[in-house]
Amino acid sequence: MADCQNPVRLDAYHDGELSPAERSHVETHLRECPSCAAELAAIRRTSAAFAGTAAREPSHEQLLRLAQSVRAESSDVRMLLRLFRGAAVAASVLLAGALAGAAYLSQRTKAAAHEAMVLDHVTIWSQSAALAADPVSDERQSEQRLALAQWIADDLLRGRQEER
Amino acid sequence: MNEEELLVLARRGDNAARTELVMRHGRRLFGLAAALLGGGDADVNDVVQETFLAAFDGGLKTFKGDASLATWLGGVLINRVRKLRRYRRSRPAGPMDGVGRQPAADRASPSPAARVELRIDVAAMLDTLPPEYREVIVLREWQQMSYAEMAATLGVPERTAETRLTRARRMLRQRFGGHA
Repeated sequence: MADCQNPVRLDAYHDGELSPAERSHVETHLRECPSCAAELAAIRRTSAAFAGTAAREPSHEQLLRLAQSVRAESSDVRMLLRLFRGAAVAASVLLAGALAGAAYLSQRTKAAAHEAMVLDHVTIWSQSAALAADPVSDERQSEQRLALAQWIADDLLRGRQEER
Repeated sequence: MNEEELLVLARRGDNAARTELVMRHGRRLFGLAAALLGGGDADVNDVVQETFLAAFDGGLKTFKGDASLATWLGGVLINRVRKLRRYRRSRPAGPMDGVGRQPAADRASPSPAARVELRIDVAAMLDTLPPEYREVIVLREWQQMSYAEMAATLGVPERTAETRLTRARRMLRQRFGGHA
C-alpha cells in the first residue's frame, strides 16, 4: 500500500465494513496491486494475533458479588439516611450561626475595650493639660505629677506585656 | 422487559433490575476493563463497579437511548479508565510497575497450551500503544464492535475510529514485525 497510488480502505474491507459495491471495487484493486494485497495480508496477521486471546471472563460468582456491591439501600435505610442528612444540614446551619454570633460578639467586646482605653488616655491627658494650665499648691502639684508618672509607667509596662 | 425499562427501575432502586443489568452487561464490561487496564489489574473490579454505580446513581441522565445501553456503558467505562490512567501518570511509578510485560521474542503457533502466554504477549504489545489506539484495537479485536459501535462508544466520528484502527494496526506491525 505504501507504493500504491490509489489506496483503498483495506482495514474496512478486512473488518466487513464496506458496502457490496465498495467491496467489489477493493477486490478489483487487489488483483492489480501487489502492494495492497501484501498490506491486506499483514492486516489479517495482526488481527489474527488477537484471536482467542481476550481477557479471561469473570465467573458467575464474581458477577453476583458485583451485583451485590451496586445494590441500592432499602427504602427504610434510604429514609433514615434522608433524616440523618436533614438533621446534619440543620445542625450545620445552627453551628455556623453560633460561630458567626460568637465572632461578632468577640469583635464587639474588643472594640468596646479599645474604646474604653482611648477614653482613659484622653481623660488622663486632659487632666494633665488642666494641671499645667491651672497651677495649684506645690505639694498638690507634686502629688498629681507623681500619680501621672506612675500611670504612664504602668501604661508602658502593660503595653510591653501585651506585645509579648 | 427491555433495557430502558430495566434502567428506569434500576435508577429507582429496584435491586432485581440492577442485578439483571449487571448479569447482562457485567461480563463484557469486565472484559473491556481487563483489556484496557491489563488482565491482572486490581483496579478492574473497581472500574466496573464505578461504571454501574454511575449508571444507576446519576449517570443515566446522559443516556439518551439513541445508542444501545451496552455501547453507552462501554463509553462510561472507557472514561473511567482514562481518568485512572491520568491519575497513575500523575503519581511516581512503583518499583514493580511494568515488570514482566515484555512480549516474548519468539512465539509458537497459537496452540491451546500456549494461549496464556500468547495473551500476555498480546497484552504487552497493547501496552506499548498510546491509549486512543489501544482502545480501538480492544473494541474491534476483543469486543467485536462495528465501526459505528466503536464511534458511539468513544464519542468520535466513524471515520476517526477507522483511521485510529488503521494506524494502531500499522504501529503494531512496525513495532513487533512478524509477531503482529
